Amino acid sequence: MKSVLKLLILLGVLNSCQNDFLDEDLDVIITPENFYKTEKEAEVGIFGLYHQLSRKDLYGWYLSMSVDMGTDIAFYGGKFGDTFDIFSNYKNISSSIGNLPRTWNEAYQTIHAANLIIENLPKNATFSQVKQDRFLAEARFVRAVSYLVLSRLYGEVPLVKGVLTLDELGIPRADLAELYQFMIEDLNFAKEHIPWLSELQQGGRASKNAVLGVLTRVYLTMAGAPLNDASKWALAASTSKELIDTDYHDLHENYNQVFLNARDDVYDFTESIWEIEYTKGEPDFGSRIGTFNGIKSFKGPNGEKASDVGGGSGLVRATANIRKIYGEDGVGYNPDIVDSRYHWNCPAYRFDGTQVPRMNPDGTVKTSLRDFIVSSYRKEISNGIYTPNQTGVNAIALRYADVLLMYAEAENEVNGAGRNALANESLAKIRRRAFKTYEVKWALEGAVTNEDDGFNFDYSGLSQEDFRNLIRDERARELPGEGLRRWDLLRWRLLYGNVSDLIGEEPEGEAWGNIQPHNVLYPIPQREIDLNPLLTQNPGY
Amino acid sequence: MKGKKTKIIGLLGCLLFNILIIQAQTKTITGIITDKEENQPLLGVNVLVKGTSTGTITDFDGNYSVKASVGDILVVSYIGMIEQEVPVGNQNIINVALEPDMNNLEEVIVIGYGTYKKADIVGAVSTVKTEEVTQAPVANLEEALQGRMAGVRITNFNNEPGGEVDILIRGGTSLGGNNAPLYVVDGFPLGTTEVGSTINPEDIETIQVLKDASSTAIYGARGANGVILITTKSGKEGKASIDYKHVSGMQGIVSGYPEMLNLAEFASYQYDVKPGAFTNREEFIANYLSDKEEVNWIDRIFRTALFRNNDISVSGGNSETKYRASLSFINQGGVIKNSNAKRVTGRINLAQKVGDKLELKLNASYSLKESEGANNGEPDRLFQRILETPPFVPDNYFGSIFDEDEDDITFKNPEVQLFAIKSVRRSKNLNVSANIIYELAKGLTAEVQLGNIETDTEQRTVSLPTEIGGVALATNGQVRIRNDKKRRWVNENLLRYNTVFNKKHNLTALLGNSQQSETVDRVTVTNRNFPILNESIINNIGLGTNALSPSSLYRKETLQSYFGRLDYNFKSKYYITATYRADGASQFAEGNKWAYFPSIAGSWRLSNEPFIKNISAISNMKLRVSFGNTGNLRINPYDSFAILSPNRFGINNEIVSAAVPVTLGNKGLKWETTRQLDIGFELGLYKNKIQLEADYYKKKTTDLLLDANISAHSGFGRVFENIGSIQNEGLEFSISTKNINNKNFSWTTNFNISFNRNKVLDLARGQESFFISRSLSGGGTENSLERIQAYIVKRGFPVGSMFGYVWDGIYNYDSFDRTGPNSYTVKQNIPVPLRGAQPGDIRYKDLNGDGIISSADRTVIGNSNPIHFGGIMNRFKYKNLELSAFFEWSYGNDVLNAARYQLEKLDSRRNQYTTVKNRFVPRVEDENGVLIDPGFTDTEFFGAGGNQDLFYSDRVIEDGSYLRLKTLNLSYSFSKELLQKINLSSASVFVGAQNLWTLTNYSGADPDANTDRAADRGLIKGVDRGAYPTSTTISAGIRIKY
Repeated sequence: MKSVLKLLILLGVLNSCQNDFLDEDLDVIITPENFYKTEKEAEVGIFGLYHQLSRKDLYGWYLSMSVDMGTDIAFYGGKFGDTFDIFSNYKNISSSIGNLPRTWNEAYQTIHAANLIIENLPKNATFSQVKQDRFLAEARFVRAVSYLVLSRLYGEVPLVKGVLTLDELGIPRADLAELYQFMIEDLNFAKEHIPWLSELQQGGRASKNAVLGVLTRVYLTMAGAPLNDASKWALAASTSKELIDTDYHDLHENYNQVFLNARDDVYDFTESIWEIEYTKGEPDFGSRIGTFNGIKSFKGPNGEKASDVGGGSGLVRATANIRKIYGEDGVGYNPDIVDSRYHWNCPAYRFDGTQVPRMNPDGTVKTSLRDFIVSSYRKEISNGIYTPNQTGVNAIALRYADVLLMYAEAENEVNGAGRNALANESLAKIRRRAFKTYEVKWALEGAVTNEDDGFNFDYSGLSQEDFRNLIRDERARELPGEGLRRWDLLRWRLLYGNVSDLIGEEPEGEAWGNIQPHNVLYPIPQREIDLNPLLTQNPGY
Repeated sequence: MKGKKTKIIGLLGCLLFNILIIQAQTKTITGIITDKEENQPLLGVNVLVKGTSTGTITDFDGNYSVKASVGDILVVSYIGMIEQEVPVGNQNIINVALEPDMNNLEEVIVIGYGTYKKADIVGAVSTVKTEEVTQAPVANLEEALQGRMAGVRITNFNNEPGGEVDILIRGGTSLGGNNAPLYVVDGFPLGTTEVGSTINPEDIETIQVLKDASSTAIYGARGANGVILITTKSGKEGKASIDYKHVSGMQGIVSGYPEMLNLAEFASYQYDVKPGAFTNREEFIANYLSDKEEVNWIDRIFRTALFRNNDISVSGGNSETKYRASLSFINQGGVIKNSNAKRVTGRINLAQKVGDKLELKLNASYSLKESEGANNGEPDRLFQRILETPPFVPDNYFGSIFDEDEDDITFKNPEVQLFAIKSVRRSKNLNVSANIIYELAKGLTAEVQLGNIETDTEQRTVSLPTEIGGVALATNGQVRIRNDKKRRWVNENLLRYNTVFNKKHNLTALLGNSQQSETVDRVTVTNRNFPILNESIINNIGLGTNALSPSSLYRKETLQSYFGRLDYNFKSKYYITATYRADGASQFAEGNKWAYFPSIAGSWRLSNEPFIKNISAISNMKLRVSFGNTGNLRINPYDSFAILSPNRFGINNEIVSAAVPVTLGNKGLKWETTRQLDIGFELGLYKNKIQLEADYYKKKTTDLLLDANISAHSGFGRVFENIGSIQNEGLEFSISTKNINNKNFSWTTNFNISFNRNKVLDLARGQESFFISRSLSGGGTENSLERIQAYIVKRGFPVGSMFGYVWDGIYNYDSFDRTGPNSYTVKQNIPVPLRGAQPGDIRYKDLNGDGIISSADRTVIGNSNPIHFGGIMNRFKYKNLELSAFFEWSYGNDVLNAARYQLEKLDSRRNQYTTVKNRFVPRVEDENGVLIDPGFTDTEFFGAGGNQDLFYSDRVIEDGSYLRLKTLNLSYSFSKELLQKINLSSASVFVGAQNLWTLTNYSGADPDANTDRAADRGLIKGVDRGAYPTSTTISAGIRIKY
């Protein structure tokens, strides 16, 4: 019996594991519950939010490039039948298409990431309230930006205000008014707690300047369709004016240099207020900007395969319509057009080690639609090491030219023909630069040699209506390829009309032949409706 | 004090008395042991004096000689024969004729934490004799088990050499990916991959598969998917014997894959996709062919590969020490050029008795597996990639094809790719376990087991700039080294007790506890931009100048358990067994850590009842019933937590750390529980010449663990959750018969068949169904539309149901009104998709009758579960010649032929199956409406060039039934007389073939393929994205025993 006892003791010894034998070792993971304690940790968390925004279906691809396709300025020049083709020609858009929900997913993922910080940081932080508020403000800024994306793309969407438990997921779509109110609250908080860019000196993070710009965008969107809340025009005018009044910003001397700077990672806060940053050669956070939408390239300077050295695919193509807006006849490339932005944005060459015109088999230069490329981020071949498709080109998320135009537009809506001189000057400033002399054209054509003389840049005499139309065209000329056109057309209630007008006019009419009135909103992903029966589908899907 | 003295005196007295007796009556007994049926002397028979360590074994002629005394009992035992006990009387010669053990009921069966005679087993347990399995040369144990056992379904992911397999025991209980059973090797739990790569089939003595709750509940939280118990060979008493086996063979792919278009046919198809400036097919083809050289990629990539296996073992022992040591070398060339695999395994099993009460066991095994070859990153569809490559030598060495008007369409030159990425993978595995067994009192033993397994895997991959579309060209080469270290220790402490009272009541009890801990450590480093571009950089990672951020991972999981079992039987007639296990696991959050798994079972051996005993035809009859709970805990550590993962980001051109949420976490996670009822019946007829075993079971699994879809507005599309329940219900039969059994000729048959029906009972949050999306092209560029909702999990339907449109041929001209030259509009009342239809477009059925083909017209179009599956083994023996043939089948399962979806799509530059030659070609009229080309319209095969085939439909769902001659073996054993002269105990030569013949209507390369390896693959079965065709193996070998 003794030996039995001995053995039992032995078993006991072997088994006398600590009480925490089954506890999970939390020291080996990072969870929101044990993070954001120090300022450094909080900052690492906030950088995670910007990383989210840089992902493919937000600024990494969709918001910076794809969203212009399927408007009246650009279409997809790649293979028919793939997802981009759908963005472009509205063919087969249905709620069950696998790809469409991805912006939905990534926007909500970003919102969730922001909510994790907003909820956990105050609980865990061991640093000053002022600094905490600053991080919270950045999180709320990112959250507002994400909701702006969602509401413009899908209309009414579920409003997730905090981290939801699995039992709390069954929520319906929120009113647009409620959604926008939520964004405004977030942005107002952000405005209060985030420093000015002049102090911050970081273009990749939210500054008060960026907050004001986004707030202006929100107000403009609310003032337009479908909310048509006219009271917001004045607010838009006031927030954009606040930014203009800082006198911190100005337009860069040369239009094209803004994009070359973004390409070369040169920060110029005067014009570029907020950028989504990418780093070349980094598969995790390199971008496809300038590659997907850049100049079609076949070879690198040393004969390499273009896509292996970061050459462009030229897949975002210019419509005849945008060339018409620039003042050409809609048939072909016109070297006589004096708006320098036309030559920068709608070039008609490809890159083959050097710039060469695209040729037909019979030896004539191609002038068909497919050869013009909306390529504000013109990037033939960048130097340095690139993984294919992973460039360091930043996405410009807010640019001073946009602020000026937003101000001019809002002011015109508030005061009509009696708009102030600043509004007129805001537009004039942009146009003056566009018609300035500098070399933007491709080498084969030589430089544009215009003089300022032919234009007086005085818009004070224009009626409200004429000024409005001028602003609308000017936004197309100034901001193509920056992911803004679709949202502009939506708030002007012109998306369906302008795009369906292209049918028959464009040589490749098929690309626009499918838009239906209901396509102005994307369908709510079917998967989401299946999982949450409280969600309703947008009409027409 | 007094008691002690008496004891000592008594002991001395006994000893003295014994010595006297021995001295007085010991004599030498000799004799011959023969096989009663064959009347042949038996070599190596154990003859032991009962209760002593005195014994011997017989020589070539069956002779033995042993010292014994009158009144002793000689125990004569031999594997496969019924043991006999002969009392020693006055005689000096004792000849014994052993009878073959026809009723293998005395066979010892290993079940969890114990061994039982087969007759006494209460649960449902299948056994495989490894001699059957190892006849054919197999590197992978599980593959060899295919079709051998009722209720065990094994499918290949891929027929890649050494490829993984998927094992399902009695249908999947879990919706989550992992339905693999628990493996226990000599009492030590192993993971699936550890078993596959470290266990040498030659080292295995028996494999038992525990299927019902009675036998698996003792493994509690890991038992729900069944348990496979592997017992390795150990030394036997007797003189040392050496066993050597050599097999050489060759392996080549079967030409079972569909044919591809040749260059001229391909050119004609390209004309339909994109004629360019040509308006005449002949001119286009002539122009297309003018600058191209035809090539057959299959011939360029594949080869007939050779392999060699060498196995050697030595074993032996005496009554105190038993040992067996083995070594095995496998060297296998891949059927793809530039690939090969080597494996070395060694094992030592030692058992030492110390005194009467203490026994020590030590098992140690080591394996080294090294494989190298082209790693194309997409093994699942490597074969498809080769097939789809246009059949001509590409424009340049790398294989790219440029098209100025379209995107660059890039094909990788498969031959160049073989050398562009080289991957070397080394896996080392050391497994040591020790058992101490001590007899505490009569019938009461204690056992302590300590075991440790360490697996180090290192993968070095070098990507040279010849890799198109990859990272290497732009980055001037890349080297990635990944190291995985996995360690698990297990401690189990057991108390066993058995007793018989009143000669009627047999009681066995087991009590135990166990704890184990597993840690995984992983480090990955990557460097790029190398000055030298050849394979040597694989070992000189420091030469690169553009290192990516290294990554590391550490995780730990622990499991603690208490368990017990009570067996009772009355007169070997009425049996009852109860088990109970409590498991605590670290993966679950506080409050959900512990779960409890009880089971109860009973059996009735009718054949031991007088009223059956009298029926001479019935030699065994047993009825058994079991019921109990088992669980599944296969979630990852930390799944209950929200996790932030490190990332990097650039701010002002400076790289900074960023933490990004990667999982949502679910604190409410708990165990998955399976309740199972099993009713079994066993029957043996005519001295067990016919044996039948039948089982009915019903399993219900609740709180299914699934990486489930959730509303994306939560932040993630998925989270690990306990959702819903499923049910598996089935029947299993196995029959073995000894059809003919003469002196010179015998024929035995083993047959098994299984039926399983699977049904989803309930899903989370009242969901009726959810979809599983997959990219059918497999490549799954995120921008392709091919991520299709291909499978559905739907209440009332089986898991693995395919979902999609119902194919209805094409829209031919009779569906249209001609509205002008080359212009057609669809007639009224003919349903078309919203976008309309053109002649030659693929057509689907309008199931809801709304006149529009839309996603609402999809339905369940297939079921990947077979109606039945099984195997049949026939062995014929004529004198020294033995022939065995093993067939294996699956019937009624559907396969999603995703490769065919891709290779009959007619929309691109990919090469296509020759079936597309039958495609629709539209009529062409000139502007006046005069027919200038009649096209080809008398067909059901759609036309080329459109995006008409965006949907997948039952057109590519095929019946995957097959019957396969899995192994065929012929062996010849040399006669004992002959061998005696060269001092060998046995020798045989054999030739064998595997996968020699398959009967199927399936059009793809292999009906038995499931190339999907995603985490939720349990939900989507039977996807063939272009698996390797089955390899046929032909081999020959020799086996010598000394």
